[in-house]
Amino acid sequence: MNACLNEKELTRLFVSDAVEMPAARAHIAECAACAARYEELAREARMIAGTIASTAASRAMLREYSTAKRADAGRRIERAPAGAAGWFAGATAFGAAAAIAAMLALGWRPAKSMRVASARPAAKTAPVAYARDQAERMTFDPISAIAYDEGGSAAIGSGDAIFTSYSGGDDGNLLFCAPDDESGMCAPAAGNRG
Amino acid sequence: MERTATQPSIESEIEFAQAGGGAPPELDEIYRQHHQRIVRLCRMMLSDADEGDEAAQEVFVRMLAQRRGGVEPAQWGAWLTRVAINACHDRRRSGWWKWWRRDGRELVDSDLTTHRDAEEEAITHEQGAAIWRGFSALSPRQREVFVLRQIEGWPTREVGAALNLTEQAVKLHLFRAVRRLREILRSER
Repeated sequence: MNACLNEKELTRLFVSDAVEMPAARAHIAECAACAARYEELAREARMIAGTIASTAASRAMLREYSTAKRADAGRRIERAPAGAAGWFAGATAFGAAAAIAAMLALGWRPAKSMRVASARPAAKTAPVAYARDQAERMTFDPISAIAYDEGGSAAIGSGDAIFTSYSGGDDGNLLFCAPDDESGMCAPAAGNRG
Repeated sequence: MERTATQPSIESEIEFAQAGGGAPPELDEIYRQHHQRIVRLCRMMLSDADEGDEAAQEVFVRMLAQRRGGVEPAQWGAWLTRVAINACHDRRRSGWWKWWRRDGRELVDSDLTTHRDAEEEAITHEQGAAIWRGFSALSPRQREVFVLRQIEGWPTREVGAALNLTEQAVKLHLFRAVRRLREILRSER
């Protein structure tokens, strides 16, 4: 009689086809202890399979278990060692470098002179005028520039064109005044131009 | 075609969305026979209810298309299972990013029967949750092999043919899945 089977051999026997591992099968037939362990393994596998199948069949159960899984995953992330954060940071930096390299390889070049727009006026020698200009900018409220016509539609003035972004009338159509259009609501008298 | 005011079923959804007409009676019968099994199979393969349900719906859409094409398989059950496996593969390949946007939609009790026998009743709620978590954490291949071999009861050779694996690979995946799930079951006791 051969030696008793360990867990690994029992599991191998369980997943094998009936004609495989004849020596192990012969041992199981003779050894009551191993036969009992094998039967326990098969019973647990049936329980597991049945539990998985019934869980999959129940949408509510699936949801509940999946939510628990996500919460568990969240806890694992919280417990993740600092090395993982370093790994992600490194991967991100590597990705950015690779993207820049790819852009360069595709012919992209930075502009020779890059002028950054400045809100500061050119004339630094006129601080009073600059301060007044800034004060006007800060107090400018686009809503205050909205002119309401009699139908309740609002027109927001912006440079040469006037867009009506809200209409309190019945039609609710988006209206647009072209620069040279002075007819109807776009007439200067209508007050819709800023 | 006008949609009725009643709650649309999956059948009618498929019918309206894809077929544009009524399904033949024999397809209704096939649907009734295999719907629960295919939905459950897809949910297990993808370990997700929403994804599984959508994959299962795709399977039955393909069934209608197959029928319309005039080519009928010898056995609809086996054909549907294979199509379900492929649909789950496709979905997993194309939808990895969906993991990030999974939201908690309303809980809806399934119309699937949830039969639990005496052995399953012995498993506590916590054990069941742990087993499902462990099952979801298995590799997709291990899940597929476990489902087809242990739950669907397919022989090793057919599982290998369906998943394009050697018989040895099927046994190896099953071996690992069984060991892992048993470890989980025992750790919860």
